[in-house]
Amino acid sequence: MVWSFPQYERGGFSVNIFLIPYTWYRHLAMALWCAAWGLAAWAGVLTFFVKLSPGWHPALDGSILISTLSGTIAFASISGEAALRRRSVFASSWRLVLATGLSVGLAMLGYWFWTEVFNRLLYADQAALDAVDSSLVTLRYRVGAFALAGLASGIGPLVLRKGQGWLNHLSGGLASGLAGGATWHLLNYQGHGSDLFWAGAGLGLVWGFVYGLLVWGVPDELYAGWVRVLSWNRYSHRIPVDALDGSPNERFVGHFTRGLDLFLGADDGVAEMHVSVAVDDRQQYALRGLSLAPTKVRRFLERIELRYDARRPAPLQTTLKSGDRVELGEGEHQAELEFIMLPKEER
Amino acid sequence: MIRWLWVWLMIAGCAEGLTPIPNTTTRVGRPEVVDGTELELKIFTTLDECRARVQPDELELCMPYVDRANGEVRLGFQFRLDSDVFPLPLASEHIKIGHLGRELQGGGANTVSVVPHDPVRSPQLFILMIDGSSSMTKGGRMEKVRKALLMPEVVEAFFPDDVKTGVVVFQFTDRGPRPIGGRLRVFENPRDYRQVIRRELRVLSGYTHLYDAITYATGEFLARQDIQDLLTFHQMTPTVVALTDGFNNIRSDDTCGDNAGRLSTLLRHLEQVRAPESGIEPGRRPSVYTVGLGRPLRPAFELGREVSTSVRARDLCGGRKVGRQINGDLENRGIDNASLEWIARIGGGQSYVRQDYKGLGQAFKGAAAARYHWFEARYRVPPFYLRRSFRTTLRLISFATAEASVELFPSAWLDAPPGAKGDGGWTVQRPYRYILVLLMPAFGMLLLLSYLGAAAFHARRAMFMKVRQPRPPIRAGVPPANPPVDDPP
Repeated sequence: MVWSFPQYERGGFSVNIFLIPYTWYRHLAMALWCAAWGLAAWAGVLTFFVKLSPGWHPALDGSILISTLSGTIAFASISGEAALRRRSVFASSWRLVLATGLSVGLAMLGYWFWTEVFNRLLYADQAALDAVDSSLVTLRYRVGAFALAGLASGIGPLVLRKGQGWLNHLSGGLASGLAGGATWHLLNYQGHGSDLFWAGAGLGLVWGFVYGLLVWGVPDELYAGWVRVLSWNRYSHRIPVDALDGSPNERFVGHFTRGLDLFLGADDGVAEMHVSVAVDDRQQYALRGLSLAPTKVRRFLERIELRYDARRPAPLQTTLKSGDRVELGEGEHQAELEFIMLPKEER
Repeated sequence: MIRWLWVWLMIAGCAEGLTPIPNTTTRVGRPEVVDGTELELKIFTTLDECRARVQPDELELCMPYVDRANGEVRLGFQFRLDSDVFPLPLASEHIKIGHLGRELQGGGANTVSVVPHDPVRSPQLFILMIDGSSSMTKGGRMEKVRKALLMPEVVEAFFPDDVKTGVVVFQFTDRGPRPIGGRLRVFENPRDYRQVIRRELRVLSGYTHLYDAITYATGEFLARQDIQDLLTFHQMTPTVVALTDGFNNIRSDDTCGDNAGRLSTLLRHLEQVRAPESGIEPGRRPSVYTVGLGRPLRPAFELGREVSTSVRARDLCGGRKVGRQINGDLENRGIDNASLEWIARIGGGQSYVRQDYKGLGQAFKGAAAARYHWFEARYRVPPFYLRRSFRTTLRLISFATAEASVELFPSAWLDAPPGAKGDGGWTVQRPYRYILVLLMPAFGMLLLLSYLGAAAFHARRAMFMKVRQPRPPIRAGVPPANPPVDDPP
């Protein structure tokens, strides 16, 4: 019998869970994805400016740039999630439009509030004139606009995700907008000159990167733990640990021929019911030693003995991480297992 | 929603009077021309204006351009009189450029330049004032002048095929300017001109009354009724070209310092005849070019952008030569290049100092140079001064009065790709596709980083994990079993 999770509907694009192994690097996946969209949004706005020569007032430049960035990055987050979850583009288009529109609208509102209301209340004399001078290149009078636009880019997707991860969305959005603004400012004044070309590119790139890093990362629920045989007998056989509905689950390994999840021969030093791998409702994995036979977990700079101790009321167990290896038996009679996290869609 | 967004943008944000400059993120306001000037200074701000006035390959240079990264601003402009183009032989000394209400001085962090475009020959009356003093015998100087004046390119410059010009040749000594050949003739064809230059140009005698000669050429001579009629009939502009091999020298005991007062008088005269108050229409005001034959006495002499008509002896001669006698002393050491430069500056022309006939030919040709239909005003300031909208003012300070200004609005958020350094240190606008230089590596890097995680993960597993089936262990006395093919029941 071969275990597998059902295939998800194939409708996604671009972000591919198979290219995102379950390592610390997966936290960068959305950051890189959103950074690319941020950069593309900047290039799009600049191209629009340069090639189509818009006739609107210069006071709208900032509003249009940062609301476009805010909306595009929100779009990147939602579309990235849809792709990872294999949602159909058409089925999730309303989500994209809603999140993007919400972020764009809020970013525009925030820009207007900061430049036309807050700045006028906060500053006086020459500073007041500078604050409302839409032609002035400055971070001092625009920092709030960046922050509010970043916040808006977090709020759009947050509404779609029904408030899940609200702290990440709000604080990450805010931080990403501010990081983008700071990068824009620093690149503008690098050296002795003033160059908003590289600064604009940096704005889109950094805003998207920080947003993807902080707001919504690739969730663990897209992965499942698998137990895989490494020893010669039944090499590469594997079983998933997670239940289909995400509820707590436990899989058993042994040479008992009926009812166990993974059979390994007694000749390989495996007891009737040697170990089990459990997963709880928080997707934390644990290995339990159920046999008096030698059972050892090996990981980098660490060895854990899990042989059952008859004097203890409960079996020993240890947390399992992706890449851990489990040795069952010893000497000539030994089997080896591997615990690895793979995309749930993996068969 | 998008429709409403557009409606809002169009209603709430239309930029009154601001024109976006193609291929940049800068907008430009409507130029403001100062009323009451003699010429209209037209600053080009739209593509349509440039297309109507400029060659297609120079369209880019005609449009306003702001390169904030390099602190450079460029404006295209031309002069008009009664709505017609009024070509001028303009150089950077003849125009003042103001940025944010302050006049820019060349030097230091600021650089100012005027680049002429689209040369055109205009009807001109060339008045050649050739030094006939006895010093012209030395070293075959008069022969050099003759050969230079007969060079084909000089003759072609004085008598171009496409417009009507005239040439009057004088020689000056202490007896005042005298028409060559003894009677005043306006040469209108190269044949007569060559003939007279070959036969009649000769060394006379006496001292060099250079200032008087220029005063005569720009005053009394131009006031003659027959000359006035000639200028009016052919719509000619008078251009005086004065050549000397030494110093203005009236008496045998003249020193360099004695010339300061005389030069001031001449400069005031030139300023007067070229001023709008003179009552002379702009096209009839004389320009004065000076040509020196020999080595400059003060090679390092340089006039600043601000030039006064009151000349001090120290400024003219340098500290140690004020009291030195001209006759037999200074005139043997070099020529008074400072005077010549001063005269040309106030006279709206150029000054040349050359030692051989080829150089002289180039100088004459330069003096007879074409005028230009339109110009670029370029200036460079520290980028700090471009961090907000600014007003640039152009003011003509020679030939006639003209002034205009325009407000430029670089975007406060975005810039097009910065320009590349071109010839002469000025920035050349890069094509927009330069953005690919940034985008391609950036996207490539992001793509690479996206795959790097998977690649590193699999590489690590390949190196440190069992990616191949291990061989069965050999147990004592037991042959290796075949691995099971099927799952157990």
